Amino acid sequence: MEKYSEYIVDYLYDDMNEHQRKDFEKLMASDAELAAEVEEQRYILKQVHARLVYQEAMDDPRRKEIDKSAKKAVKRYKQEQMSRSIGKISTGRIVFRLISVAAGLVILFVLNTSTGFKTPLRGVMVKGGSYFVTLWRML
Amino acid sequence: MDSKYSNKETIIQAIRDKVNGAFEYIHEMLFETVRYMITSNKGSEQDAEDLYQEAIICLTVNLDDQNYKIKENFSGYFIGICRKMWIDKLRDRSRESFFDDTRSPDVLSDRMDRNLQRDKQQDLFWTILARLKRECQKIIKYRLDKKPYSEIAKSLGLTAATVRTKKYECNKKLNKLIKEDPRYSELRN
Repeated sequence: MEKYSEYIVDYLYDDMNEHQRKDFEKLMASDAELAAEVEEQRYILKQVHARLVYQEAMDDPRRKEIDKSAKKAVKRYKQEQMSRSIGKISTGRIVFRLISVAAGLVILFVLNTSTGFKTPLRGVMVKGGSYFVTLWRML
Repeated sequence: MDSKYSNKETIIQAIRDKVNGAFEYIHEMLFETVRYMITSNKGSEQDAEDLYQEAIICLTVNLDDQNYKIKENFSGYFIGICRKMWIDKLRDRSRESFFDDTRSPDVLSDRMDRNLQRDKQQDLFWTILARLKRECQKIIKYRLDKKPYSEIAKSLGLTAATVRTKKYECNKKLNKLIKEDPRYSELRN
């Protein structure tokens, strides 16, 4: 595995050109031991990098300012989220009310046209109401 | 993975333009750190996934405002957002639990710092990193961040060729130290 050590490093640190990369991947496909070694080193580097990034963020001399900016960013995001959900609720309510009114009008129209109980001087609600009264009396 | 995103202005513009490559780069560079931070602070793998996604949305919402500026280092800023969000989540959870007396975000923040210090003494990777020279740590990190050799060389006062050579040496030493540690085989099993 020693003979591949520099290739592995170049591969994992993205220091190969497209052609070299493809060649190395072909080599890995034919050599399970090499592929396993690459995977193992990839895992190690991933863990090490994660800790180094975290350490750098925590040791940053401007950490207080960063925390402040992050706090502001999160606050802004939460406010935006809240206003969006309020917007959704309001839109939902308006749509629901419009649908309810439309459905009511359709029912009244159907009921009126099907009974022939037409009194042009009355309002729509009265017409519907009269239909139910008539129906009730018939029963 | 495209190295152009190691430049702060480029990645910010790419996020504003919703370029997929930029989000892949952030995931590649920072997800593992977020995962580490959450799982070593009372969180699960799923918590880490969820929080990372939410932090990305938070980032894009803020950057949708063209006048919004990130004055700090990008990764530090993103980790800061994740940290703040996680502290808020922990606080919400402690509110739900009668026996947990953690209420203040400052207490939670201090606790996270203490966890990190404790982790540095126990965790395999931290202890091995502590045995590597600071220069080695920087070369490994900067190269994994996809920083160009010329930039690394400038910041460390070396030549680009020396940085390249040191990268092999540092990586070799890192692997040797980790693989020799009995905790590593336990971890892999």
